[in-house]
Formats: sequence, C-alpha cells, structure tokens
Amino acid sequence: MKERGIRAVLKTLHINKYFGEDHVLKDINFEMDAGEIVVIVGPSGSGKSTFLRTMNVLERPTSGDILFMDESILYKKINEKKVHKKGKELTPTRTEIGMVFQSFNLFPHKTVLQNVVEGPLFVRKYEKEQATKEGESLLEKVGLLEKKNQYPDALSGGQQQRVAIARALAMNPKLMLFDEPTSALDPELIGEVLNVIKKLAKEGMTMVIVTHEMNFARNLADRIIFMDQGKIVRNASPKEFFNSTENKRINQFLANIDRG
Amino acid sequence: MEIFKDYIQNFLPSLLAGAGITIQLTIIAFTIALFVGLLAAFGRLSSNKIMSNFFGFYISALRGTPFFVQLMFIYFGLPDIGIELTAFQAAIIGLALNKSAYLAEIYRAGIQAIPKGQIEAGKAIGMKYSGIMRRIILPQAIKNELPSIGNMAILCLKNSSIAAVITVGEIMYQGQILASTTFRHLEVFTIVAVIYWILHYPLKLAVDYFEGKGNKSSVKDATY
Ligand SMILES: Nc1ncnc2c1ncn2[C@@H]1O[C@H](COP(=O)(O)OP(=O)(O)OP(=O)(O)O)[C@@H](O)[C@H]1O
Ligand SMILES: [Mg+2]
Repeated sequence: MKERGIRAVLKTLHINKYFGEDHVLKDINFEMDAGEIVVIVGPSGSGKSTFLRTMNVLERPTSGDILFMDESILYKKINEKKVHKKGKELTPTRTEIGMVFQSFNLFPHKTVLQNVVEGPLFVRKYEKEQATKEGESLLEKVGLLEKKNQYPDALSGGQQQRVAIARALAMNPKLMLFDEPTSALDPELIGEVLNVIKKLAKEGMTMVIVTHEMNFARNLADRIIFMDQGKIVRNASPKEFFNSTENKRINQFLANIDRG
Repeated sequence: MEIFKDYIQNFLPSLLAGAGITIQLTIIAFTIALFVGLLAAFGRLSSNKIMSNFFGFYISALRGTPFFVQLMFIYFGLPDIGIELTAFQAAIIGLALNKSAYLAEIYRAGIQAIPKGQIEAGKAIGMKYSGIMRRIILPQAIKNELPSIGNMAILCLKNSSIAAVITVGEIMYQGQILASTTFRHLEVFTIVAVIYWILHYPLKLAVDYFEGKGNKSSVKDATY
C-alpha cells in the first residue's frame, strides 16, 4: 500500500494561459497528493503539454497560481506584494521536480553518465565520487550501466529515454513529469520505457504522465484527467473513467485511440 | 632557375622576419577576437534592448565598412582624440575588432541552431541560464561552428597583410620594400604569396578535419 494524502504536493489555482489570442488553459484547478500517479489524456492541442509545462514553469501561466509543497512556484512576496519569480529564483523548485520530454533532450556532447551527473554535480554541487556512485546506481536501475561511457547518439530511442529518466531521477525529485515519454519511440521500444516508469510507481514516486498508452494508464494511474480545449473535462479513477459513457468527447477520443 | 635561387636567398631573410610578425599579429588578434566575439554575440542575443542594439550596431559597423578604412581610422584617426597607438598595436586592435564582429555572427548562428529542448532540459534539472549557456549550449555551438571559426582564422591571417599600409613590418610590408628597391616585383610577390599559402595550410587542414568530423555522423546515419 502506498502512503496517501499526506498533503497536496501540487496544487494549481485557477490557472489560465494565453498564447497571444489563443486561450490554451482555461481556469484549471487541480490538486495531487504525495505518491499519486495522475495520467493526463486528451486530443491533440487540448493543452496537455502546456499544462504539464506550467508545473515546473517552462511555461508561465498568464494568471492563477501554482503551489508546490504549499509554496507558490510563480510568485514571491515583497512587502506583502506578489512579485513574479524570475530566472534563478525558479531553479530551487525545478531541482525538486523532474521532467522527461517526448524528444529525450539528452545532452549530445556528454556521455550517458555525464548526462546523469550533470545536475548533481553542477546544481546540487555534490562531490564527484558521490555523484558518480549514485549516477551509476541509477543507470543500473534503468538497465543501462554498461552504456555509461557511450554518447547518446549511439543509443536507441528507448535507451535514450531511459537515460533521460535517470538524469531526472538523479536530482532526487519529489515529483516527476512525463510528456508523452513513448510517443517518439518505435513500438518495440515502448515497453522498456514503460517498465521503468512502472518500477518508479512501485517505489511510490509521485508522477504526472501525459500519454496515449491507454492500457498503461488503466493499470498504473490512480487518477485519469481528460483535457479538451484547455479544460479539465473529467477527473476520475481509471475504473470510472473507462466505464463512463456519458461524455461524447471522451467516447470519441477512446474510440479513436482503439482504432489507432 | 639559378637566378631565382639567388632571389630567394636575397629576399628570404627579411620576408621570413616579416612572416614572424604576421604570425604574431594573427595569433594575438584572433585570440582577442575569439573572446570579444563571444561577448558581442551574447550582447546581441541579450534580452536587454540597449545591449542588443549596441552590439547590433557594433557588429554592423565592423562588417559593413572596409577593414582598410577601419585600420586607417584607428591608426591615423584616433590620435586626433588623444589615443596614440603604435602601428603594431593599431593593427592588433583593428584586426581583433574586425574579426570579432564576424565571429559574433558565427557564434550567434551556432547558439541559435541548438534545439530549444537543450535549454529546457537544462532548466528542468535546475540549471541557471549562465550554466546552461556555458555547459550545454556553447560547447555544442562552438563544436558545430569550428569549420567557420577556422575559416575566419584563415581570413584573419590574410587580412593581416593590410597592416602593411600602416607600416607594420609584416611580410607584405617587407615585400613592398624589397620590390621597390630591387624592382623584382614578380619574384618578390611570388615568394610572398607562397609564404602566405604555407602559413594558411595548417589552418586549412584543421578546417578539413573539423568538417570531416561534422559530416561523418551524417554519412554514417545515411548508410546505416
Ligand atoms: N509556444 C507556443 N506558442 C504558441 N502557441 C502554442 C505554444 N505551445 C502550444 N501552443 C498552442 O497551444 C495549444 C495547446 O498545445 P499543447 O501542446 O499544450 O497541446 P497538447 O494537448 O500537448 O497536444 P499534443 O497531444 O499534440 O501534444 C495548441 O493549440 C498549440 O498550438
Ligand atoms: Mg503535447
């Protein structure tokens, strides 16, 4: 059994996001507890990535606030006035939140191990010996220790994504964000990445995962969030979600996925 | 053939002395240009409007006017406002500033060509902007631009010949003196040209090497 409900790890308060005229996130309220696994699904362009990216301020919401461990990640108070956190004021939050991208984004000029220890060494300022030891044990965990001295372009997509997961884990995050971690992969490589995520789930990692892998969502998620046109249309347990028939958009979406 | 050998024997000592100065001029000026160019590139890319406009003007002014004019301005013009430089100093500064503007554009192109995902990956592990630039973006950008940077070094070497007009004693200057005292223009400038060609050759080899390195992976990928 996972420990649940200790306190909200992440809370979004009425966030809105505009890209120019484009209203991409519409008054989103969302809350998750430590140890929870939330899967976000929805049609293309519905705002899933944008929503996820606000959670570590890769996108800044136009309005609203986001609390991480009860503290605003967007604003600081100066003389009782709310002021935007900027630049390096955002980095403390980001060190606590890991992110895995659809396109991996490994550093191509660094070896696998160097990718993993970059954060611990130069952000956390760990000793080299300690960072290396922890980095190697993370690579072992994702099954890639023997590749530690290779460069990313010598690895398959699935292997690169597993390194990217190890790189995020190396910061010892309290929350992991995944934006379609398997969408860029050949079908036969998807399983190895999902298995690593399953392993994290067993260990109780708190995660938000955007994915189109419905079986994976059904088996792993504590909650599924369905987004459509910038709104959270449904927020339910997998069981409720897959049994729901009343929402046309969701049914349409599920039907399309099944066919695809 | 015999006669030509005589010319070489007579002309070579002063031309080689000139080559020594050419090498000094090129190495010192280009080293300065590598750093000033980086500064100008970051200035140009800065989100601060004043900074960005200032370096935009700097780059444009240096790339949009002849190097000859720049050199005359520094050596003969600046004394009017109290800045007196030796010919060698003026040549170093002129060459360094001129090449820094070209290098700034090379760096800028290199930086902008790095995918945005690299910056985001750096942010996501909590790196600051300066760390992302220094440790993630610049190493990749510079590596990709090494052929262009090498070509700029070759241009720097060849442009140093213009320093002759402000009496810096480099090869071209030595050549002009020899030619005007012996009237052996053809012979003198042939030797001068050959020396330049020899000096450029190691740089050309370096450029070939960098280009080969850049291409290798794409060739490999294509035949995979
Ligand atoms: N940087 C940006 N500038 C302008 N518009 C953007 C930007 N990023 C996203 N958008 C727009 O915001 C909307 C939501 O995009 P988002 O990427 O969040 O959707 P998504 O649900 O992740 O879609 P997909 O399933 O295709 O990844 C889209 O209309 C998109 O065009
Ligand atoms: Mg997306």
